[in-house]
This record gives sequence, C-alpha cells and structure tokens, in this order.
Amino acid sequence: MKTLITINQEVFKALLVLYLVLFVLEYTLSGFVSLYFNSSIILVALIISGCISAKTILE
Amino acid sequence: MTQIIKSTRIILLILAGLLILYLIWQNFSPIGSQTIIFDLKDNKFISKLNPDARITEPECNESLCTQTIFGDPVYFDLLLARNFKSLNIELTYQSEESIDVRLGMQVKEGWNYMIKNKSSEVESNGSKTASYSFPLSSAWKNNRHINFLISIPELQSSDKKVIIRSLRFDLQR
Repeated sequence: MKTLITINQEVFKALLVLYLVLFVLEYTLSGFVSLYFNSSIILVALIISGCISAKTILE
Repeated sequence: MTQIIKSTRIILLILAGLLILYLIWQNFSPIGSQTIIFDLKDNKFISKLNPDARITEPECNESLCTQTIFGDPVYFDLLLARNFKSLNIELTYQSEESIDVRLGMQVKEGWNYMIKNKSSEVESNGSKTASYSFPLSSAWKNNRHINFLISIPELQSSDKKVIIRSLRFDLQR
C-alpha cells in the first residue's frame, strides 16, 4: 500500500510539471499543444492523482 | 522501495519526453504532409464558410453535412499549423447544371486573391470533385491563418445554387 501511495505521489509531481510545461508552451506558442494534443487529459489525471494523494495524507 | 520509485520516475520521464518530442515533431517537422478533411462540421484548422447571407447553415443527415451557396463569393480561413510549400484543395460539390466554380487564396492585405480555375474534375455519385493547387509561398498569412474564397460568378445573375459537400486540403512540404 505504501508503495502505491509513493508511486501516486511521483505520478502527481510528474503530471503537475508536465501540465505546467504544456501550459507555458501553449501560452507562448499558440496552437503548439492544442492543435495536436488535448491537455485536459493531463489535467483530469492530475486532479484524480491529487485527490488520492490528499486523501492518503489526511488518513 | 527506492528501486520502484526510481523505475516509476524513469517511466514517467520517458512518457513526458515522448509527448514533448511528438509535439515538437508535429510543429517543426522538416518533412511530411498534412491532410485536412473539412466535412462542414467544426474543425480546428478550417473556419466555417461565411458570410451567412450567401450560404446556408450546415444541414446534416446522419454523418453527411451539406451547405448551399446562393451568393458569391464565400470565404473561409485555413490555419497553418506549420510551414508548407504547396496546397492542393479538392472541393466536392453538387450542381444541377455545369457551373464554373473557382477558388481564390489571399495574397496581400485587402481584397487581393489569386483566383484559380479547377485543374481537374471527377464526377461520381452525382457529386463533382474539383482540384485546385496553390503555392503557399505567395499566401498572405495573418497570424498563421490564410483566407480563401469560393467564387461562383454565375450565382450573381441567376437563381442557381451549389451544394457544398466537403473540402479536402493536402499540404506538402
């Protein structure tokens, strides 16, 4: 269980950094990301991972 | 435990790297082509045909949409995701009689268009597919958008109508 929690935290960190990178790329070069990839997928995964992380920390 | 964390980090790094590389390739690839099929539904690369005073709203029957042009000309924008050298457009339309359909690409600011007649036409199942070629080096790009027109001069002096079925864009490096 502890391993899964740690993996989830790593996934959360990676998704957060990736989403920020995609956001900056899209902001500076309009269409760079959005024309080829739906970054909402990363955002949804980030939220789910974040919720799981928050829940495990609170427990 | 540390081995699992290390492996997870490496896998995530590879996945993120692959996504970034895919985006860089799509945006800056020095080779290749892009094909855009505009079937009159919402499209990221092609704007809707306008103005509304010269063309009907899309009428969709199952998956097939049509729009009827009754005024001349109608316009649309093409969004260029990256640089291309040439463009071939295939316009699929229906008309009751033989009618001259031309396509124009904006080459300067204002009403300056390179008007082209169809280079070839194929007829099948009651629809005609006309081809047009444009050199994109001459295009006037406004924030990566190129404006095009569909010109059917005969519509100005008659009650003729042209039903547009689809547009296919073949972009080449």
